[in-house]
Amino acid sequence: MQASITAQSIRTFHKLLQCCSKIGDELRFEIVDETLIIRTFDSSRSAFIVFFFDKGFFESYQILTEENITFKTGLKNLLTVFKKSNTFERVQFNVDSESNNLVLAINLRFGFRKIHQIPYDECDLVHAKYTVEHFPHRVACRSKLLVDCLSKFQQSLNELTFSFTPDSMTLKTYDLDPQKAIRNKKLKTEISIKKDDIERFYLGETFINCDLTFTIKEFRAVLSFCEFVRQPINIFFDWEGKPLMCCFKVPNELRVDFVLSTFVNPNLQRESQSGMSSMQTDSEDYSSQNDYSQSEPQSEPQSQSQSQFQSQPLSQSQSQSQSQSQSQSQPLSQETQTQSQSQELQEDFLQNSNNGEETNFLSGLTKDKDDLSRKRKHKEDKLTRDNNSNLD
Amino acid sequence: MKFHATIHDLALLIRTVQSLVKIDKIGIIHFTAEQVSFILDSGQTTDDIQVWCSINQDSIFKTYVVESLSENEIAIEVNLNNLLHALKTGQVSNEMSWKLTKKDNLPYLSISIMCEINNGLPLVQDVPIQIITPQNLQRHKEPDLPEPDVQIMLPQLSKLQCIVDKMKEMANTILIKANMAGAMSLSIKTDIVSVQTLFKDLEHPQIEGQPEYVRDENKTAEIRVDIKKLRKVLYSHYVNPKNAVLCLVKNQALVVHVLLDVMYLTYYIPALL
Repeated sequence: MQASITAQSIRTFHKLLQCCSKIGDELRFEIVDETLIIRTFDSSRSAFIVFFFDKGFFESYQILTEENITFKTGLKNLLTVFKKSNTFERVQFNVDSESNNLVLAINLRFGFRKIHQIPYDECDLVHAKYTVEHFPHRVACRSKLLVDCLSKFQQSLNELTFSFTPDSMTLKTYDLDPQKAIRNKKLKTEISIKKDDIERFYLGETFINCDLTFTIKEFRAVLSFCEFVRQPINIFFDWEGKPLMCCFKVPNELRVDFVLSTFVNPNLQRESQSGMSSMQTDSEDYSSQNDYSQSEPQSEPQSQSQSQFQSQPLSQSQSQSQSQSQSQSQPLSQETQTQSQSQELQEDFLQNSNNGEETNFLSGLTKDKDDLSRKRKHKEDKLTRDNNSNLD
Repeated sequence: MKFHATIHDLALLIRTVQSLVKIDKIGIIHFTAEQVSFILDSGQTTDDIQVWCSINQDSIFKTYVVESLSENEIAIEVNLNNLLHALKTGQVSNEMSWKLTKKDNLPYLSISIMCEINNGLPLVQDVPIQIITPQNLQRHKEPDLPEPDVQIMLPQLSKLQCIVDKMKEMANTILIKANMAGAMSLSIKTDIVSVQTLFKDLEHPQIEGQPEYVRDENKTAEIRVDIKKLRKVLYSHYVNPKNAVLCLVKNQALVVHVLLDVMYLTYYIPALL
């Protein structure tokens, strides 16, 4: 593949790298069917972002070989290359599959030309299994609005909660332990946006007031990239514990999908337990594997959210494994909404029926640390059997 | 116990809290009918700086209602960083109102702001507080010091801070000398270097109810204090004071009074012997 970008696209690409650096450590490139896709996800697999590039983003774009390639490379190298990108006039990307290098040839002012060779590794495809169809509720608003709202919160904040009601969306701080000493207690901030101030506020029939809590760092990064490209952001959501999805696109250039897992506040008591179970999508194959397991006490909220995006879904269309978010430090007996599933996944690409790039998202499967090892053996056999049946 | 108020001069309040937050994270706010006082004395047994600040309530608040069982006075303990952040988010907006509330059985100072975003979005900042009972409040008393030996008006605090900043790199303690004839000196001394800054023709404060002071060259005093503490105190230039008075109480403390028409800040810095 050979491509080159100029001017605004260089700045956009740089901003993209900065955004990805807040989410994960590596970029995974996929060149398939003449399009370029870049993905990043974090080590605990609770945040996943994918960029679909369109021809309009590039000054020129050529595919040299017929093969589709997927490879990954560290973000740090790319960030270093793009540090002074405001002086770049043109950047040429060249994938050199013989030496496994991504070659970046940069034309600077005054005729200078810099060539960087960044080694890459071949890797597996990783998709997230969620598509926008999986989320019944949707909110669309200007990214600047959310950025301004976020600026009212303290910089040191780790988590944020979106609270949805039929008329409004509220952003507030998440406080797991309100009994802390006053010296350490955090400021509680709350800002509400009425639905009239939001461009699109569409709640599906199954909507019940909910609070979605997630780590703020990745969200902030994606939001600031969205503000940079000056596009409205679409937020898709379902229910507490289910992931949040943010999508936006730059017409003719780029489309971005971001999936972030959410977790449940264990301090809240919920009434509509049954409502929750009816929202589970049918996954008959895996229903027996659903476990309602206890969460382990964890001291840091950051480690709570554990939806994972794993390589290789089985049969996509039917198996809707649900992402789980585990609440921490309180026994789950108070709330039965969080479900943990542990599944062994198989690494067989070919099983993956590619429904086109747009709908290729892996579902988050919770890889709960201790449960997994225990259940994995038991589940393995079942999975293999199920898989085989799906193939037929 | 009821408290609600709307803010009139947010800038002054922010500048005050900015100066205070340099001294300590935690402070007590005491609301009375006439005054709003800040008390920062994290443990009177320690060697830390104590700050006693009092502002006329009507210079900050437009409307102001304080009601309680203890003579309509309320004292709360807050984390000043939280308070400062909350106040700063309201800087651009027009309205800010304060209220004492309880959420989930915990007391908060609820600051409601009508943000500038989108032509007005309601923003609520809940600052966690602890209510201080009148008995506990009694334990916090301004230090009882003898009459200062020397009282002298300080030059511009921001300039002083620059000087002390440079000195802080070289030594840990600073010696302050002053006399009742308008002369003051700040000096540091180490094995390698000694630096002295001399001021002259400074004024002396005329205190009401006391006989006019007599210029006396021989009446001097000197005190040694921790240089970092002095520097923290000098952040009080944020409030743009009208006057600043330095009082030296030999062997005990350095007292700095920072004065505005509607407010005073008093810093007590313990002397190093």
